[in-house]
Amino acid sequence: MGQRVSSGHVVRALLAVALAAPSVHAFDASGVWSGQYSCKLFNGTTAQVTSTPSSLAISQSGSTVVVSLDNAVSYAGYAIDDGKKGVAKGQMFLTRCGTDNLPAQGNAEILRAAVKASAAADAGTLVGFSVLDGDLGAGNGRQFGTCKYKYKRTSRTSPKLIGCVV
Amino acid sequence: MELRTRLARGLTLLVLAAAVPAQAFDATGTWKGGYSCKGFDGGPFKVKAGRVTMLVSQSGSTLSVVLDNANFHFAGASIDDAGDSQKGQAILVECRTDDVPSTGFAEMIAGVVKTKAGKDAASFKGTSVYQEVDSSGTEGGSCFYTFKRTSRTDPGVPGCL
Repeated sequence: MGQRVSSGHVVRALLAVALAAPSVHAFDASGVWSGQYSCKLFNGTTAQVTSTPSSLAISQSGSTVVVSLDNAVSYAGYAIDDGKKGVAKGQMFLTRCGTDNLPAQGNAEILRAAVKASAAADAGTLVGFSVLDGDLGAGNGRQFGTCKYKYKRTSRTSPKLIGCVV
Repeated sequence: MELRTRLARGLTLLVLAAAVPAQAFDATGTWKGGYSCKGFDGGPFKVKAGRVTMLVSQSGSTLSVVLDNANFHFAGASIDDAGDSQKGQAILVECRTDDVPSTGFAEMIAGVVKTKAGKDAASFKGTSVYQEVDSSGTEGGSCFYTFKRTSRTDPGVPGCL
């Protein structure tokens, strides 16, 4: 129920099982990233907010990804390699810690990012897009919107991050 | 009637009218439209669906929505446009959404709603990001939704269970 399954999805899944090879990720986004994000937010009126400079700390182990944005907002998610052989790229899907199905409470965000980054060089790019629901603080109501993220990796040193605390 | 009395009554009516808050938009009803998605599961893929029905029940700023033959069930919230309360924006969160992205399904839609007071006519345009991990594989993507309302009758959509 509720699945948007591509035609090649099942074939790829069967191939993956048949090969039964250890999971080797073609891309590894671990490291420190520098860039910016801009958000189009609505709280009764529309506002454009840009945050630059901004930093991302990413720790990736296999397909598991943990991210800290500006040392303030944490995300957990997963990485999917691009199926093309020898290509150090793929996509990441992240959920802000605390996200739930109660849209009028707390902060929630789901983020999608296209990543090019290998384990062999610092160079890397990350371009992302998200939908968010934010709490503006006591008595200030809420805001909805979308954000765009654009970063370049400056270091492959994997930061020590913990995932969402349950 | 004396002119001053008429003026006073007129002013009283004006003050009363100004004191009544503008009616907020209400997206309740049946909507017809479709969505298109760009997903990724190791390679890019597209999904397009037309003739999709969206059912919305709104109470105050709280929305409950089912989409695509109830394959997707959302809880939502709305904010009125400060300049035109018949317009606004909504956030919809799929009921299975949580912060454990390694299992299950999650989706958030940010949408723009335009209605006309007392009329069925209304439009909804939304953008989403979704994630999905299950036994058939792992994928994610973003979708675009476009709907027009065909009826304001409340379909009685429940909230997330």
